[in-house]
Amino acid sequence: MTRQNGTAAESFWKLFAFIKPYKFSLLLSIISAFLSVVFSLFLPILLGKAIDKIAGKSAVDFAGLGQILKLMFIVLILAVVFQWVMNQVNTYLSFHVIEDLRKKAFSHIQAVPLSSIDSKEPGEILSRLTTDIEQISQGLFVLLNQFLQAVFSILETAFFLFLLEWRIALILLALTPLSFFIAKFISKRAYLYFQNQSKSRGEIAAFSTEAIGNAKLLKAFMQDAPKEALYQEKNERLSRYSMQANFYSSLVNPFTRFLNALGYALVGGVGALFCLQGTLSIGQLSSLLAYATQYAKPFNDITSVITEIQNALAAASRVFDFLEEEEMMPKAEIRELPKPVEGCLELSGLYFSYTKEQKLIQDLSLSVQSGQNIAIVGPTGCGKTTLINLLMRFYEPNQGSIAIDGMPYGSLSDHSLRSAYGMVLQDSWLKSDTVLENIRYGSPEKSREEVMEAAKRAGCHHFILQLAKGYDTILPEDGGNLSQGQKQLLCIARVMLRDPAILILDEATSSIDTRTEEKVQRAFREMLKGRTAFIVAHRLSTIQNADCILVMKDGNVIEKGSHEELLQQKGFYKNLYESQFQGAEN
Amino acid sequence: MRRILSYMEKVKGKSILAPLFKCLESMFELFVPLVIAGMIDQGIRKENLAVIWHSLFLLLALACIGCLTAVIAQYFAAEVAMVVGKSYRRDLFHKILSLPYRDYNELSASSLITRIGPDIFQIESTVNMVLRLLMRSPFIVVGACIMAFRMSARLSVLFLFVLLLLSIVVFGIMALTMPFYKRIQVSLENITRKYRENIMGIRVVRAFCQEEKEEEEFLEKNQDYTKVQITVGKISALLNPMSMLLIQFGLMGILYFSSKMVNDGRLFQGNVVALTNYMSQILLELLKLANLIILMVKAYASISRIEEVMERKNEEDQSVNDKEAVTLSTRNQATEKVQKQELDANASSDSNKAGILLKNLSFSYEVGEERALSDISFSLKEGESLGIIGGTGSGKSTLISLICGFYADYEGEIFLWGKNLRDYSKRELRESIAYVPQKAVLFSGTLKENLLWRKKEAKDEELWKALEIAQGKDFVEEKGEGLDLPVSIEGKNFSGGQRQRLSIARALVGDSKLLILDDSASALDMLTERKLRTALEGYQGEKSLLVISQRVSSIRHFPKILVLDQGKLIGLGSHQELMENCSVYQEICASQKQGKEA
Repeated sequence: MTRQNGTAAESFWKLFAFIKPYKFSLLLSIISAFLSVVFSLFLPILLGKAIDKIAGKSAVDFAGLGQILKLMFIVLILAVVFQWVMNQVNTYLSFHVIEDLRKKAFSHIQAVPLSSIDSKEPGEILSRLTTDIEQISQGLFVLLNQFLQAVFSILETAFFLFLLEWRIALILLALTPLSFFIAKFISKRAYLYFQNQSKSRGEIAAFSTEAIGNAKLLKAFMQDAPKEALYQEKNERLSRYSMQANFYSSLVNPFTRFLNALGYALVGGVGALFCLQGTLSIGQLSSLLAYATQYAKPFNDITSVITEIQNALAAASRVFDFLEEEEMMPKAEIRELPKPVEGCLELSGLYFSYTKEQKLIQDLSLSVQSGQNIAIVGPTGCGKTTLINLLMRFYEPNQGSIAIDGMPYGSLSDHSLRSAYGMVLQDSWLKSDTVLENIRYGSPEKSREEVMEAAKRAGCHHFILQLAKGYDTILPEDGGNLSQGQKQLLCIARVMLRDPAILILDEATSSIDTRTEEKVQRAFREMLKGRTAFIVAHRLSTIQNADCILVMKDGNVIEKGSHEELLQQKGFYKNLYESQFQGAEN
Repeated sequence: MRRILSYMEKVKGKSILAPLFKCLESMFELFVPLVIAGMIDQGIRKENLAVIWHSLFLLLALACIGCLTAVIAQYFAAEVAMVVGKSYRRDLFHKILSLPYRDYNELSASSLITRIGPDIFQIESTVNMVLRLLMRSPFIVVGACIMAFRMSARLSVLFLFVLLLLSIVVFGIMALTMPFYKRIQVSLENITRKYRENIMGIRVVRAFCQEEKEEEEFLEKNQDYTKVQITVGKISALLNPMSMLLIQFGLMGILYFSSKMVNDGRLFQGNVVALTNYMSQILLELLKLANLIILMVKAYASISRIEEVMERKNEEDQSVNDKEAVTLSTRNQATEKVQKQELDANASSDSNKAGILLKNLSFSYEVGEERALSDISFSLKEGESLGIIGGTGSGKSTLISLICGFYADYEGEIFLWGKNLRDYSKRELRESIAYVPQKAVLFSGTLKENLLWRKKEAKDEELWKALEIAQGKDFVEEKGEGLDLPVSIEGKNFSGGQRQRLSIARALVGDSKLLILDDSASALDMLTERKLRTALEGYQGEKSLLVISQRVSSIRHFPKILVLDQGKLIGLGSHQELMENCSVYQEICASQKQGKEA
């Protein structure tokens, strides 16, 4: 419990750091809230006074009433103006704070080492950056708009009550803890039910995501009926919990209203007695009654707002967990890679592992001449992709070093280093933008003609023209209706346009059928000529022409040499190769 | 809407009682100012202690009854909402699983999931709120006006005037901000997309040094979002101050006008207090009503999204309807029937020989769209196997889907073992065909549950046998939990290759006449694939085997190979024959081995 409070408080202060730049707005908001509450709470007193002027038949003090009405008008205008100012400032403040937070989160993504992204589920990070930040935004808004006002209302109402009649004020005050107690009691029960409900919701969501996402499969195996029965079971459970949670939480309202009505009745009754005694005027009684109706509202507000704020703080702690992951240090001494880049690489004594327990790359040394094509083969998990991660400096080696054109990686800026490379990965990534911009990604200076030229070489010009608006077709997120193969061709065009010194092809053609691949390969071969390249491929046929083939297993290079040399070694490579062409040799 | 009402009808009593009790509660609330007025005018002014005690007692009684009725109302409302949510979820889930295959291509899974999740929750909580507030708020507003009228007809005009202005302000501001919510939604989606893109594509962004450009783009979208939010915020910021202004003006109006009336003795002081009370109540209820209307608009959007799915035809209905439509629309149905019988007769006369017979099969996924398959005809003898090869988008998977009976509205005819595919029951068809889909997915639970899909009562030995053939036995044993091995959602706890092997094993459990593998070994390394192929040959027996692959090496040993290109059959024969007469096949082979092996 204390620990939780600790983290909630921590989150609060961290969040406060984002509010700080707007401290004048915050101050203005608080002052306006205070004043608007003061003025609007002053109105019932004036109302009471006015009523006293309307005592009865032939007992109306018109002049006095006029005075009071004038005063009421002024106070009302002040209250309204301050409330308006407060609302305006709060809108400005809360949305700008959230904008800043989002901006920070986005630049954080760009600045963290890849390991902090890779180690998490993308959906998980995304939900922190979207749902959680939205939650914070909500929390901030109600904090400023309702919470402060509610607190001021309680304090100022108490003040005015004591001013009017302290004994009656005490009666209302005595009810306060009771009201809190009931609200707390109910929300505690409700909280338990809400937990059940949200757990059950999570379960049913996971279940339906799986079932609906794979509905075709279920039906192909006639599993739809059994799944429906299971779903109904979960549905029943969820409904039961929802009903309990909704009912219990909805009890807060009638019960606090009951207390309110109780207070109202007591104020009315006791007040009337005081009136009889002559210690209280009827106008004052009506002021008291006006306070009594409003008295419970801020308490209600606070109880409902507090859950919202708690949720926001919980969300904030998740967001800050991510935001506080260490960003990459800017290098102390940065040099630019001299151009043109030759593409000589020297890997010496590389050690790398993602986790301490599992060793991956161990003592890898390799020297690559400018223009050499290096192919990497091996079973899944052998470290092919890891090697590429190191080459692109997505990860830093634990030990050992890499040098490009004689310059150690450590001395180069990320941009200067990565500009030397062009990369096509197995998962083709496209952004939601036009086809043109997608191909031009990374080389914004290229003209439309150059883009089309590259598309032609990659063999995607033809299908691009068939799209609704050709090169200006806006692709939806992740390429939309394009097939895997088409997406991959676009990524290939992107690299062809970039024309890098070193090429990295990580299963670049895995989603293209071999006939199309053959055409792309021709373009690739053109590109590969005289260029340093690393090629990872499943299909051995695509790598036979490499100058050097690295056969990797469990993070080590176990065989190395040209295709012919490796076949002669009669090792792992020969085995792989033969299994692939088994059919051909029969 | 109609559907929700029909769900509510099941709990009719409670659906009526909930708002009814709410009205009772508000009625009691409306009495309170009356009691106070009486207390002031009869009790205090006439110094009658008994009236005061009496009033106090009455107020306390009203508080208790009010609370009780409210609790009862909340209970009924919660229950009705629960029943609506539950029934809606159940029916929608059933509907989703009954849709024809075509619809799954059209409706994305994520949109269906939103409908059955958040959309129904939205409806559920709205039903709850509507039952609680829809009657109550107007009841109080109208009730307050009537009470005012009873005390003073003249002053009630003032009430109506203030009510009118208040409604204009409250609903006007609502109407002004409403259109912005769509923009806010779109703007928020843009931001989310930008985040997602950058998380998923972080390698590419970094590799192409586009961090700054991405940040710029994000900044723009972020500012855009803030701008819309602030615009809406500024409009909404007017609501509270303006309504307070109006209500207080109303109160001042009451004071002003009533002062003369009181002076003339036409109205009592207590009445003035009561009137000011009623005036304040109106505001609160109008604001609640406005919020409720926003909720209802949102829920209506959810309902329309769901109904869009609910109104679709079911898989079975569709084929039946189509058949009816065909028979009704064609005037010469008799001749058609004869033709069909002839076809069927032809087919069955070959039945001892023909296992699978396709006649002029054509299919397109969407009406008017290019054909995914056109005019495919071929036959296979019982027990004969076939390899299918072709580029991406050549129609391989479509062909399989048709043979498996996933789509009913194809042109041409398919005969399986002498019987028209259209005459098969779903069960009979599923039991005859064992199918391994392209995308290997397992369902959360245990491995055993997944393997029992085709045959509920299969023994453990049979499952192990299937695993062994599918080359999955070793790694399953290695994990040490046997058949109770837990499977996480979609089988994500297995690698792609492992999932493929398990999904093959799933198809091997139980009996079948035809085993279909749709590029189901693509993630396996060459060695494992070779072992799998050998094991399958041993297992095959009398079964036909239908294998789709992109690799020549996986299908070249079949006596019959079918080559598809852009939905057309362009080659059928053995490897040797095709190498001689099918240029596309030659090209495919050439692309997969270089030079000398060919």
